[in-house]
Amino acid sequence: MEKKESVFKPFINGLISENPTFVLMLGMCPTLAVTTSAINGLGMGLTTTVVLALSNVIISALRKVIPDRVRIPAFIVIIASFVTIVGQFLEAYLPALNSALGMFIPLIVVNCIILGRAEAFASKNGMFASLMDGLGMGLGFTVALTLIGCVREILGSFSVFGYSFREPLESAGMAPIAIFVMAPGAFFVLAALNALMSVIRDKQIKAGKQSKIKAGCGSDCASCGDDGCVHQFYDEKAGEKE
Amino acid sequence: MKSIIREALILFAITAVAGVLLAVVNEVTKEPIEQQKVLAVENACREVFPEAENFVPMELPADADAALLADYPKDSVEAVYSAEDADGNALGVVLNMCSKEGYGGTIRFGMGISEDGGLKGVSILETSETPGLGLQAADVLAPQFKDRKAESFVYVKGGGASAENEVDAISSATITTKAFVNGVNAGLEFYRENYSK
Amino acid sequence: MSDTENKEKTAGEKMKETAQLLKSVSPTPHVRDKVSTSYLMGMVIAALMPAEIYGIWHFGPRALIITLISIACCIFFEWGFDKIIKKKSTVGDLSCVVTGLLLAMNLPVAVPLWIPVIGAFVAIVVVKMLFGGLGQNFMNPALGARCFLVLSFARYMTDFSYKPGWGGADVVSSATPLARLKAGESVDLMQMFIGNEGGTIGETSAVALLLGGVFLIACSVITWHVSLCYIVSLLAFTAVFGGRGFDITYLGGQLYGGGLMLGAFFMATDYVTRPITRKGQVIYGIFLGILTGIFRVFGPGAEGVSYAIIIGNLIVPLIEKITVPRHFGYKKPAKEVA
Repeated sequence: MEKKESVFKPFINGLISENPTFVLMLGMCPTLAVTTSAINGLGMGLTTTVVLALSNVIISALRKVIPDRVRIPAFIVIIASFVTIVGQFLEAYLPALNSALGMFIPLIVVNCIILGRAEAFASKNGMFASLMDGLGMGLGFTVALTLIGCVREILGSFSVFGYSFREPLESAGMAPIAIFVMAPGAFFVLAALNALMSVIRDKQIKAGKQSKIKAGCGSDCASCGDDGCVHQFYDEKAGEKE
Repeated sequence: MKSIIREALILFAITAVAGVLLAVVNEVTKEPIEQQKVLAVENACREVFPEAENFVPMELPADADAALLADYPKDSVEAVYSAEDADGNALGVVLNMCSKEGYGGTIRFGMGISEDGGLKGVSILETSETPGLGLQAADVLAPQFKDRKAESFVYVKGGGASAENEVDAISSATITTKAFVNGVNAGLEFYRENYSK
Repeated sequence: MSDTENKEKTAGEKMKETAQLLKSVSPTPHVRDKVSTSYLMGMVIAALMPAEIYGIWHFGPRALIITLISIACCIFFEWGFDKIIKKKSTVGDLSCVVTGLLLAMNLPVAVPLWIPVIGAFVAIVVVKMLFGGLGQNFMNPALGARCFLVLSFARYMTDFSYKPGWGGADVVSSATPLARLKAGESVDLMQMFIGNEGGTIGETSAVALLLGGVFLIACSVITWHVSLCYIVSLLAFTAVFGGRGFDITYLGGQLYGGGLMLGAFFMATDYVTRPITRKGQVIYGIFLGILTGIFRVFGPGAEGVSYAIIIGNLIVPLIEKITVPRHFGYKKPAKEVA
C-alpha cells in the first residue's frame, strides 16, 4: 500500500501540492497569453503535457549518459525536438487548435516548467517516476489553464467551451465584460484564483490539517540546486531505505 | 581535453538522433500540412463565394497596388483566386484584401465578386479591432454585403440604410466601418480595372 | 510607550520606527489642525455639486438615478468588504461617496443601470480595498473603474446620445465636442463653457467644474499646483503639436472639452495618488498634460484624460523618489574627480 502511494506521489504532487501555475508560478507566459477560452487553455495544457511527459522520460533515460557540463544544451535539444514534432502533428491534424495557439506552440520550448522539471526532477529520478512527474505537472498546468480559460470565457464572452449563452443574457440587457478576454483580464483571473488557493490552504492549516497545497518557494527550480522542493522525494526515499 | 571530446560527441549524438527524428516527422506530416493549407484557403474562399466549386490561385497583376494607390492608398490586394464551377468555367474571382486604416491596425478580409461585378460575400480573415465595437464587423458589417451589387458602397450612421449602395455603420465604430467599406470599394475597383469584361 | 520599553529598543529599531512614521507625514512644516478625512471629503462633495446638479439638469432624471446607484453601490461594497474581512467600517470617512460620485460623473447618461454597479465593485473592491483601503490604493479608484468599463463595454461607454433636460423627447446623438474637433469640425466655445454638449454626466460644464475647483483651492482643500500645471502643459502641448497653431477655438475646445476640468481639479488632485511635495506635484501636473496631449493629438481616440491620470498615478512613486526633500543644511556630495 505504502509503496503504491509513493509511485503516484509525483503525480499528485504536480497536480495539487506543487501545481506549476498556482503554487510554483512557472510558465506564466502561456498561462496569461492563450487562456482567452477554455478550449485554448485545455489545448495548450495538453500539448504541454505531452511534451513534458515525453521529454521527462527521455531525459530520465539519458540522465546517466548526458555529461553534467553539457546537460542544458542536451535538454534543450530534446525538448525542442519534441515541441517541433508535436507542433507539426498539430498543424497536420488539428489545424484549428494550431491556429488558435499560434506562436505559443513553438514557445513551449522556453516554457520554464519543462526545463525546470527536466533539471529538477527527470535528471535525478527514474523513468517511471519522471513520467508520473511529467504527467502530474502537465495535468496540473492543464487544469489551471482550463480553469483560467473557463472564467475568462464565461465573463468575457458569455460562453463555456464554445457553448454560448450569450443570446438570453444579451436580450436581458447584459453585455460580456470584454476586458476579461484581453490581456489585463488574464492577470485579474490568475490573481483571483491564486487568492482562492491561498484561502483554501489557510483554512486547512487553521483547521489543523496538513494542507496538500504547498506555499510557493519563490525561486525557480532550475537554479534551486539540491535543497529545493524536489529533494523531499530523495529524503523520503532515503529514509525508506534506511 | 578528453572529456571535452567525449561531451561533444555525446551532444552530437543526441542532436543527430533528434535531427533524424525531425526529418522523419517532417516527411510524414508534409502532405497533410499542405492539404490543410489548401483546405483552409478553400474554406475561406467558399465562405464568400458559395456557388463555386474550385478556387484556382491567380497571378496578381504587376501594378496591382499602384492602380489602387491613387484612390485607396490604405488598401491592397494580397491574393486573387479564380472561382470556378465543377466544369472549370470561371464564375468570378475571390480577392484577399488588406486594409491598413482600421482602429486596431490592419484588417484582412476576403471578398467574392461574380462575373457581373456584383458582390457574392465578404468575410473577415484577420482583425484586431476593439471587442464590442470594431470587432462586431464580422457580425454586423460583413453579412450586409452578401449578394449586393453597387459601384461603390457608402455607410449610413444611426441605422436605416435603404438604397442599394448603403450599409449600416457599426454604432460608435466609425473608423472600422470606414476602413471596411473603403476596403470593399477598393476591391470592387480593382476587379473592374483588371478582370471586368 | 513607557521609558523602559524605549530603552530596550535598539537604535536601529528606533530609526526604522521613525522612518515608518515619516512615511505617513507630509513635508515640513507640520501644522496641526482639526481637519479630518470626512471633512475634506465633504468639501470635495460640495465642490462637485454644481457640476453634478448641472449634469442632472442637462441630461435628465436618468443622470440622477445613475449617480444614486453608483454612490449606493460604492457604500455597500466598502461596508461589505470591511464586514467580510472583519475590519472596522471605513464608510464614515465619506471617501467611498466621493468615489461613487466621481464614477457616476464619468459615465455617459445612456449606460445600462448595471454598469455603475460593476464600476463601483471594481473601484471599491479591486482598486481600493484589496490594496488596503483609503491611503493605500495606487490608482484613483473612480478612474481605475472607468478605464475598466471603457475597455469592457466600449459600446456603452462611448455612446453619448442623450435626451436633453427634463421631459425632452428628442434623443440627441452627436459626437462629443472633442471628437468633432478631432474630425476637423468646429465647436461652439460658449456652449462648451456652459456645458450644453454631449459627454459624460459630470464633465460637460466647464464653468461648474471651474467653480468647484476654485472653491476647493480657496478653502485650501487642494493646492493649485497639479491642476494648473496640468492644464497649462496640455494647452502648450496642443498648441505646439495640435497642428492648428494658436487657434483660440481649437485650444478652447481642448480646455473645456472632455474630462480635463473634472480630471484636473478633482481626480488628479486625489490626495492618495498624487505626489506629496510641491515640486513633485508640478512634475506630475506637467507629465499629465503632456500625456493627455499625446493621447488627444496622436491617439486614435479623441479623449485621454482618464488614461493619462491612471498612468500618472503609476509613476507617482518614481516622482516621489526624485523629489525627496533635503534636510536643512544638506550639501550635495562633491563629485569625485576621476
